[in-house]
This record gives sequence, structure tokens and C-alpha cells, in this order.
Amino acid sequence: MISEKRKYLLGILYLTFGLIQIQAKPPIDSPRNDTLQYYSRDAFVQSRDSSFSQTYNPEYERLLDKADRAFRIGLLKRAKKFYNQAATINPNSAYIHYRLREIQNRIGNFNSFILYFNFDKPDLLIRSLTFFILFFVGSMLVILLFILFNRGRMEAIEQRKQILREQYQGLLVDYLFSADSANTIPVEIGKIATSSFNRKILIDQMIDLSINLTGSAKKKLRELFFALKLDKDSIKKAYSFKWHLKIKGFRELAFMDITDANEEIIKCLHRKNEIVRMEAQLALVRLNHDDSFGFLDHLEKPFTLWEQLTVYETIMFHKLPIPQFDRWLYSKNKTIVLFALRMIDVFKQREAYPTLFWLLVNEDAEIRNMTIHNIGNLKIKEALPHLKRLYKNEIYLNYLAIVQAIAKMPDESILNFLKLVIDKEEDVQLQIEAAIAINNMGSLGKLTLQKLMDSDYKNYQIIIKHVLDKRIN
Amino acid sequence: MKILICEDDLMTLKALEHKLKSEGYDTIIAHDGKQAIELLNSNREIEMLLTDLHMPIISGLELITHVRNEMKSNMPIVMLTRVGLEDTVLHAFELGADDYITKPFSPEELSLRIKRLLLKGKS
Repeated sequence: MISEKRKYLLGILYLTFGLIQIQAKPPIDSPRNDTLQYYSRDAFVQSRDSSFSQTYNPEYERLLDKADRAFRIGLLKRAKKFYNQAATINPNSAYIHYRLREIQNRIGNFNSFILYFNFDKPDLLIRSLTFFILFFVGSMLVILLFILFNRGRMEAIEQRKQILREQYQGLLVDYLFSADSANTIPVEIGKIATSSFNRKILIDQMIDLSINLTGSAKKKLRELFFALKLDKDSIKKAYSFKWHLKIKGFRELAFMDITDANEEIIKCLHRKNEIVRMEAQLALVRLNHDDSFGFLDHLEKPFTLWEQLTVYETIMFHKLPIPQFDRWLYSKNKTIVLFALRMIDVFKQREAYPTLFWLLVNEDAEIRNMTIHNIGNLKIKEALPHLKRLYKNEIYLNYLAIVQAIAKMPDESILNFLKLVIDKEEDVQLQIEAAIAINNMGSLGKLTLQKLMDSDYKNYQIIIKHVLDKRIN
Repeated sequence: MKILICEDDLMTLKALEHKLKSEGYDTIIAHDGKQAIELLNSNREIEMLLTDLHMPIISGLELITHVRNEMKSNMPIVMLTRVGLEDTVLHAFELGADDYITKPFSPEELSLRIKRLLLKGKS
């Protein structure tokens, strides 16, 4: 059995040598050597089948015509069919026999592969290939021209934009900081607002400027935005079906503090598109003046870490009011609870501790873990008995979190518990954390560790030495 | 009174330039730290530096170091920075900056700070 790969290689070799053969000399079986190639069928019929041609048969002629046509364009099976039909009328025709033999050779014999590329009479394959090559080259040229044209057009637009940007920047800055432009819009800016292309660029420039400005300059910029009715453009964008326009609209509305499309923005909190969702959240943080984080009440989709980070950055950058985050600790959306816990930790909202206690028995281990960390970071000593009680039923990560939280708010009442952890637990990390917690208790803690080190009951020396090593801790 | 404004954001740069010009200051602008150093070296009349901290090629911190250590100049330096970069601001103060303002900023506040610094310098 010859493998497929080998067959393929043989084929290529054969084709290569075959083509060389075409250059060197015509193949023996080629019709070029055959007299039939040089005489018309009629001449052949007259010379060889003269007895038959004397009795003219239109059906026979029609079949031969069809067969010849099919043969010329390479439809060999079709040609064979017609030759066979013609042969039933004139079984002695040498011409038909010759053609049938030739067809047989072409179909069945790989040697005749070279004949397939008879460039004098291009068959269907060559015609098709030629057509496709011409089609693709033509298409390529059309695409190339289109790209060149489009590139030139885009460059021209970009140049125009750049010129307009510079012009508008100057106009806007002049308007904002000139004392004499208190209430009147300069004629030049008024003219810009007549074309939608110009309005887009003007809006972009105004947003760019508003990012870094506060105070009276920003107020003046906002007034100009309204006076030029650019707010209508932004609202239109916010209601657009195209998501990229929608988010652009949200941003513009947020920067210019326009609340008219808040309803639509709230709707977008439930969108599948993450970018639209995030932009809607960011816009609402800035546009809901009384309740910046009110959108969390409506949010059903997961509030991803990236979204949380972006919202946090927004409130810090724009110095927005910080709400009491314990309001969202009962949310059904786990990601919102985790975000609220993070914010309670960041903004040190210790007042949240009554609610935090409830979260210690939440069914979700991740929420419990973060609550334990929060309790430690906020140093809520009231939670120490709860943490001690919870320890038995927790998972390993939460064991660690409990001991680490205790270490952050050292209290002598918990000393025996920590000694038990060192004594009973087999996990070294837990023992180290417990020893650190004892060490944090000051002189009593250090004395306890010293006693444990001297004890013959168990060898704690390595752990306690590690904890007491000032180079490490 | 000549003030060098160094800021990579074109719109903010224009706003600053316009505001300070309208207050009667003479201004020179630079788009990055490298250009600012060249201007400082070639123009000894510059009496104050207003610089962004985050810029391409040479940062605001490097620019402050250049002014204080290479040029040995006591000119007042005001930094422009974003919220949340307190460590960078502290570092800039250690290097010799005199004041800072966070973006987004009020041009009026900036103007007042500049006036205060100049008065302090004169006294």
C-alpha cells in the first residue's frame, strides 16, 4: 500500500517531469502525433467511414457534435456518453473508437495527466483556473484601489479634524478665560454648531477640557454646552442602538452632568455587553447626585472586579461623596456584598460592625472570609468571641483569616485560644500565625512564647524562633 | 514675570497658558520634560515652573531634580498631579517642589496658589 503522502510526492514528481517532457518532446500518446488531430471529423468520416456518410443521419451528426463539444471543454464522461450513443448508430466508426480510447486513456491512466494540460485546447479546468485567476487579480485590484481611496479620504478627514481641533481649542479657551465673554457665545463658536461633523469635534474638545477643570471654568463650559444645544446630541447618542455611540453619550452626559437620560442609563445596567454595563455604572455614579451608588440596588449582573476598580477610581478622581456601604451587605448579589465589604475596609467604616457580625454566619465562605479580614482590619474587638466560636466549623482559609484577624487586634482574653491553636493544629502556617498573634500582645505575649519555647512537651522552638526573629517580622 | 508651563496634555496646556496670560504673566510652554530642560537652560529669565508629574521622555520628578540639583535654582515649582498619587507628591516635595494641585483643578485656585508662592518668594 502506498501511503497518501507518498502518492502525493509521486504525483508532484511525475507532474514536474511530465511538464519537462512537454518542453522536450511531445508524448507518444499525444493526439498531436495522431493524424486525427490534423483532420476534421468530416474528412475522417469521409475517408474512413465513407460508406456510412453517404447515407446522412442527422441524429448521428447531432450526437457527434455534442460529444465533440463536450470533449473539447473537458467533460469527458459526457463526451463518452454521446460517443457511445453515436457508436450504436455507426458501430464501425474509427473516429468514435479513437475518441473513446482517448477518453479512456485520459480518465484511467495517470500517464495521460500531462495531456490534461493541453494548452492548445484549454479544457474546463484550465478555463476555470484562468477565470478564477483573472477574477481574483481583478478583485484584488479593486480592493487595493478602494483601500487607497479610503485611506486618502480618512487622512483628509483626520487633517480636517486636526485643523478644527486646534481652532476650537483656541476658541474654547478664549471663551472660558476671557472676562468679556461672560454671557455671550462668540459668533465663531455659534457657527461651528451648525454642522454635525463640527459639533462632534466640538463636543470632544469640550469633554477633554472638562476632564481637568473644576470650579467656575467647568460651570461656564457646561453652560456653553447647553447654550449650543449639544446636550441634545449627547442624549441622542445615549439612546442610540449602536453600543459604541451609546457609551460615548453616557460619558458626555456624565462629564457635563446631564441627568435627562438617567432612565435609559439605568436600563443599560442589565445589558449583556460588559462595556455598556460598566459605562452605565460609571455614568450613574456621577449623575445620581443624592445617591451615587444607588445603581447597586438595581444591579443583577455580577459586579466584576474590574468594574469595582473603575467605580472606585471614579469616586476618588471626582471626589464624590462616600456612602455608608453597610446598606449593600444584605444584597442578593454576592459580588455587590464583596464590593461593599471592600469599600467598608478601604473607607474604615467601623460603624458597619453590627451587620458584619451577621455576615460571619453567611453561607458563602468567600463572604465570611472577607468579613473576617474586615473585622481584623477595622479592629472590632467585640467580634473576638464570635471568631473564637466560629473557628471550629470553618474551612482552612478561614481558620487562617480568623487567626490573622485576631493578630491585628491583640487581646489577652484570647490568649488561651491561641495557645490551643499552636498546640492542637498540625498546620505550620496556622501555628506561625497564632504565635504572631500571641507575640503582638506585648510583654505577656512574649513571656508566653518564651514559656512555650522552654516547654519539653512539644518542640515549638523553630516556629517561635521564626516569629521572634526581628529580621523576618 | 516669566512662568514655564510643562504639560503633555494639549488642552490643559492651552487652558493654563491662557489663564496665566490673562492674569498678566509671561508664559513659555513645553510639551515634555526634555523640552522644558532645554528651555530652562536657554532662558534664564524663567522665574517659576509649573509642571505635570507624569510626562513622556523626562518626568516631572526628573525635571524638579534638574532644576534643584543641576541648575541650583530656587525658583518656585508647582506640580500638577492626579488624585491618588500621594506617594509621588511626597517624593516631589522631598526633591524640592513647593506646592501641588490635583487634576481636575480650578484655574482660580491655581492662580491663587501661584500668587501666594510668588509673594512668599519676594518676602
